[in-house]
Amino acid sequence: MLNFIHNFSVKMRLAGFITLLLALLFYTGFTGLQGTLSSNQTLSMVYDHHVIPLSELRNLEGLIHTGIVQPVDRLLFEQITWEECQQRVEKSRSYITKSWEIFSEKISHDQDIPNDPEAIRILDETKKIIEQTENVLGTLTLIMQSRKTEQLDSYSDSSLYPLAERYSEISDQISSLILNEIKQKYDLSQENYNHTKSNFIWTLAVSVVLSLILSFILVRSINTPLQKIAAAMRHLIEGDLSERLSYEWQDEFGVLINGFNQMIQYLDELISEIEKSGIQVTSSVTQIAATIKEQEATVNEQAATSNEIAASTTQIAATGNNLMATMSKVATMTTNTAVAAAESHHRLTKINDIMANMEKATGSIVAGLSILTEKAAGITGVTQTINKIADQTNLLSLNAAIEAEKAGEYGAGFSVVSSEIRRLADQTAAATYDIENMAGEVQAAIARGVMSIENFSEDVRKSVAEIQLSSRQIVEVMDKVQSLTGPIESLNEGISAQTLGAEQISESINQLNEAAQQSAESVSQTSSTIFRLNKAALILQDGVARFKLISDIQSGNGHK
Amino acid sequence: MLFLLLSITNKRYALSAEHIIEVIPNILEANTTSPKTPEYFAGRINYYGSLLPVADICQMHAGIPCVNKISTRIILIRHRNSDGQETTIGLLAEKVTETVKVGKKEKNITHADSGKSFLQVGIDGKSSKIEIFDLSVMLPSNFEVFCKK
Repeated sequence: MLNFIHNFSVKMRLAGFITLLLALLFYTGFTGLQGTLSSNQTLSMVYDHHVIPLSELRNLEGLIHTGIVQPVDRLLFEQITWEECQQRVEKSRSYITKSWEIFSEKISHDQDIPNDPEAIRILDETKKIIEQTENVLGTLTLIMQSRKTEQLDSYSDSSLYPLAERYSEISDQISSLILNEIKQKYDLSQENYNHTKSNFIWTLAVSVVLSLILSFILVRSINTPLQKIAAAMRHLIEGDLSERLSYEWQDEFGVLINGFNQMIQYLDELISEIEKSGIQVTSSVTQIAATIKEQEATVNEQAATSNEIAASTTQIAATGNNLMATMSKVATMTTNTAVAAAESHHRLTKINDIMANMEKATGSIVAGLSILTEKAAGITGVTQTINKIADQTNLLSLNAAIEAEKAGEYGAGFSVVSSEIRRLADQTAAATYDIENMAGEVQAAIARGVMSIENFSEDVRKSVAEIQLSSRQIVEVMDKVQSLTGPIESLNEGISAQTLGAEQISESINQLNEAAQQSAESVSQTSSTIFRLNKAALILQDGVARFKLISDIQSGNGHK
Repeated sequence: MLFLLLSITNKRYALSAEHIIEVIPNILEANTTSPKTPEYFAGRINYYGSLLPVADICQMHAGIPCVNKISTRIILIRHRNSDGQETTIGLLAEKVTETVKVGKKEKNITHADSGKSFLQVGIDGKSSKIEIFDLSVMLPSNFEVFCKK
């Protein structure tokens, strides 16, 4: 049975089950409706064929009593006029005719009447009474038109009152007849109801039992694979990805379980991929963190460098300002220089004159020196003379000594004199030698002095030429210095522009510095982000480690 | 005894004053040499009317003529020839400016091997040995021929 069921798809199973339930419901409902319909039919028939004729009958009876007998009595007791009575009687007459028509029509639909002889008899009697009533009423109308009170009184006693009594009797008979019929109908209906009720209960019971059995089968056929999937899902939740489900039937659960298996397969692969990726992410994050630290250091260095640049730029600006001040000083100094150059020119002219004088003086010095040289030569001559005298004296002393020797004892004193003379001559010779040397030195010194003075004179001449040249150059310098004022002003403007530029650079560097600080902040933010990322990667790895993968089992087996 | 000091080139000699007549300045004129005379013949001088020959002893003993200085002087000596005739000749020598006096006992410190005699004298504050210029040894044997001319 179950196997047979499993070969249908769940949709078909559900559809079949619901169709069956609907059929049972429909059948049960139909049975109930049929019972209700039959009772309703019976009730309406009772109302239509029995209650309405009964009502009309009562109406007729009432009309006879209140509409005809009562006005006639009141007329007879002279409570109302003739016309009034006549109108009421006419009116009642028309009502009676109408009620009768309704009654006869309703009663004719009753199928039970032809089968009941008592009923036919009563109806025939009723018809007679109605015909009699017509006659009585016709007569009564004629009497009233004739306005004969006695006749009316007598006719009332003779026919009207008996008619009314007769009416009451018939009415009671018909009423009992109709009530009897209603009783019969009620019994029939009760029997019918009981039958229908038991039928209905049985049908309901069978339907409920059948529904329960079918529900059980259906629920089991759906529940078994669902529980399998749920168990697998619990394992999956616990992280066991190694389990695969087996299912032999080709219904939706087959597809679902195949899909589940495939999903677990994909999940397995995915998680192993995630595991690998997590490890890679961790290593990458470590690398990135290292890189970020380096970057941070670089940014800090950059900040330091830009600070230095800013300081340098500020210094450049300050230097530019100093330079501007210096340039203005230079400008004033240039003016001073022009004045000084003019003065220099004047003084150089004076120096030129002095130099000319000096040249003359040098000439006279040279002349004096040549005189000195001559005098020195004279000294040399004198010394030579002295030298000769000393020589002669020496010679004389020698000869004197020789002569004294020849004189023997008598020449001894003279010998001493001669040796003294010779000593004098020797000293004189030594002195003249010294003088000679000195004179030679003086002459040499004078020669050197003359040479120096000649050189000096030459230098002075050159100096004069150079001074003249310098004078001309100073005139040129004056011209140039005067023409320098314009360029210095433009240079000054340039330097002020440069200072401005340096200040702008300083501002830019400050902005750059701020940017560097911002980037440093962002780098540190990135660093914290990376720290979080690292944390997240570790969490990811932890999360992935929760899963038991097929590859783990295989590797575990491999290790075993 | 009195000795006159003289020099031949750098070497000092002492000449005994007993032979000396007079010391006179070098009054020789240049290029007064005559042909057929020895190299040491320096020329002739007019000494008080008589013509006296002069021998250059530097040329004679060292082969170099005397340097012409003021101290280079002519020493007039009495020379006794081999024939016993006494002549007066001039000797041209260098550094003839000093005499030295010695006792008789100090004389003739003779070295027998060379036949040279020496004087031990103090000159210029130091003691030195000076060879005695012995005319009989120092003048050549053919000096007479030179003297005749």
